[in-house]
Amino acid sequence: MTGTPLERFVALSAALTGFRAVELWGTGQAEPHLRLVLSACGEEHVAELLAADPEDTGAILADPGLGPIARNVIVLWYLGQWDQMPRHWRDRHGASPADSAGVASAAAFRAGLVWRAIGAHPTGANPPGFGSWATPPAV
Amino acid sequence: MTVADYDVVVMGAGPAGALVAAELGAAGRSVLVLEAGPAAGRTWADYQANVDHYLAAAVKVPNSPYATSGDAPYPSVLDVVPLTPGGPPSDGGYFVQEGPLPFASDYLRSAGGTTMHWLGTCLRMLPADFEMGARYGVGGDWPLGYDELEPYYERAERELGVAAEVADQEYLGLRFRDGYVYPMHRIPPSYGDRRFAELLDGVPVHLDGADVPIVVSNTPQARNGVPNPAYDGGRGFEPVGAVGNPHSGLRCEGNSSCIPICPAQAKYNALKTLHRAQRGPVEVRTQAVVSRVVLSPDRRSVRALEYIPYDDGSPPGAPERVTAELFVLAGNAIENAKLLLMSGAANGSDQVGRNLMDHPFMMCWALMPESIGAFRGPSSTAGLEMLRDGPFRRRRAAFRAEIANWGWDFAAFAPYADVEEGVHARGLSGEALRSWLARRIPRQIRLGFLLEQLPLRSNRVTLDRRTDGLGLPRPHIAYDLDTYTRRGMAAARECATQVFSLLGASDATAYGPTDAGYVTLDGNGYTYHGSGHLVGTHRMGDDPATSVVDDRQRSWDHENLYVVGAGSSPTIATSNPTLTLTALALRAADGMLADLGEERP
Repeated sequence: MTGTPLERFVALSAALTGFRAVELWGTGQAEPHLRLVLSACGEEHVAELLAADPEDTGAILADPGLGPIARNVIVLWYLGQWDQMPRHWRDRHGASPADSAGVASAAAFRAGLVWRAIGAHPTGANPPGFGSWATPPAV
Repeated sequence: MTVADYDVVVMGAGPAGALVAAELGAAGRSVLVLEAGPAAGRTWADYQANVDHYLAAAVKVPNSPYATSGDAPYPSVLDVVPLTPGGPPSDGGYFVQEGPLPFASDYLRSAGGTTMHWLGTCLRMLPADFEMGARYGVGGDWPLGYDELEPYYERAERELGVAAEVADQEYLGLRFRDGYVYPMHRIPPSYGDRRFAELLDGVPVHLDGADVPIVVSNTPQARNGVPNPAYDGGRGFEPVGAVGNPHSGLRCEGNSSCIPICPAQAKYNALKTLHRAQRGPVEVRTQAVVSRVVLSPDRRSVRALEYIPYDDGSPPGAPERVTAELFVLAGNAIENAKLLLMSGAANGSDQVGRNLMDHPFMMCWALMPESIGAFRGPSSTAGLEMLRDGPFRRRRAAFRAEIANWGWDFAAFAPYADVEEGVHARGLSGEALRSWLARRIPRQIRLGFLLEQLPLRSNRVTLDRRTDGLGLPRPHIAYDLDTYTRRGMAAARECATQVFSLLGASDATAYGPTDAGYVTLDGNGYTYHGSGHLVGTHRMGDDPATSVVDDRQRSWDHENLYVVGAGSSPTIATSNPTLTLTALALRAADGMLADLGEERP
């Protein structure tokens, strides 16, 4: 296990999202995303998540404690929104007041990976220019 | 004889009110505009704050970017819930709805009105739309025809800044003045529009026992594009940029968020007209809710408007009274009717509040075999217009269909629901998730059918005993879809099935009895939403016994009162209403200037 918690979070996020670490760093959202996950899920569980082997996302996603956090991390990166942790997870691991559903921030929405995945741009931001919609799609 | 405070007082700073104010102000007349909502968005910083508010909103509905106030509340599409026949009315939002079906549209009370989140579609009405009674024996006729409104359509297209080509719009009897061109060239068709045209143009759909060749038609849009140098006899056209930042919005940038907010203001909103109005002696007072039309003792004229100023967080002020030569209500079909009913005014015909209409909006969606690059460009840049008129209108509603550029957006909450499905239901992550989304979302297509609705006395807005933050009654709405409209929905569904089949697309449309707007006909179910088209509650006509206003939108009952907006339309027609209400507002303004003794040059 090497690197700072933030570096490990980005390495794991890259494996979970299918985007390269450099792309995730480039969004500027790595730090706020990690902060949100820490406040919503608690330091202990996040430390456990970041200690796991990022090469083995299958094991992480199958883990009853870590899987729900990892899935929320994927949604956070793709949509910029936090979904409340599942009821069973909250019952077992404790519910944080920060674990509430909503868009993390306008910047988090703009950085959502779903728009890159589909060859588009976040609605209401990063406009590709007049007439760009007439060109054949890249994706 | 006391001197009036202003020449004209206007209620409402949306497209009709702002335009009337601008026209009268340009003639040197003093005007006060009273707007119930906030000024939000009139500075560039305020406007950008609304954009950020939208980006950070969890649920991105049309009203998401905009401020709300209990003192000037407005409806949200999130308030629309299924109603139980015979059950209690729904009163979860601003409207109190008794049904049997929910009225599903929203609007905005704000400077700029609902043009803050409109799409910008600027189709003209068809000549046939003015003559539904004479031609088809349903709905009734307008007191004026297409040819009388045509010059005002030209002026409206200038005001809104419409981009289109005349050659694309000459169908079903639509005619244009010789040599006329739109202010700007058409907005480029999306890649999806081009694929639709390649696959569909000229191929017939079979409906009502007839073959109708499909035409994928570029939509006239109030969206800045490339000016046409031939406009205005070769003088050209200068696009109008953002209020407070005139270098922004001179071309559509492709933000793909026309609804709920165009970040660049390349799409027209009425703040632009309001801004122009204030070059003249026009004063705008926001957060001023008109609460009463004060009549003269003989009731033949209006003496004053009363309004309540409010400041969120403080108790509302005492009502203030303002006098004028002429009074104009431009609050939209619900707010105009509400105020007239509250005041016991303009209702000698008993038509105020009746004949409430919308375009029930029915979506059909499918997956193309290839990527068409969904989620790029304006929400819609083309439509199917060939079924807006025909002999079938004797028995069922006509419709147009917008071809959406944003995949399954409103239909299935794409792309958010796709991500949730991929992660949670399908257990995907990493490259598998990314490629699954990439294979699916860019292939999403959607048609949005706008159905015609006939004027019905029983579809109406009245006053509820429940009140808003200022103690004013909330609108009480009774609403239903008749068999005429449901037959139109069945035909639209059939049309979509044939179109999807011709495209080789797999149909994914799903309606269910738990949908708020679920209706049935002959055992088949359909779901409608609102189009935000509020029409019909103060209908115009040529008989004071059966209409509220005359063909210039002047009240039959009170000589110095105009009631303007889509509420004056006797039938809803097959076009989105803003262009027509703008043309009608210009015509009304000519009437007002004549009343005030002005002669138009």
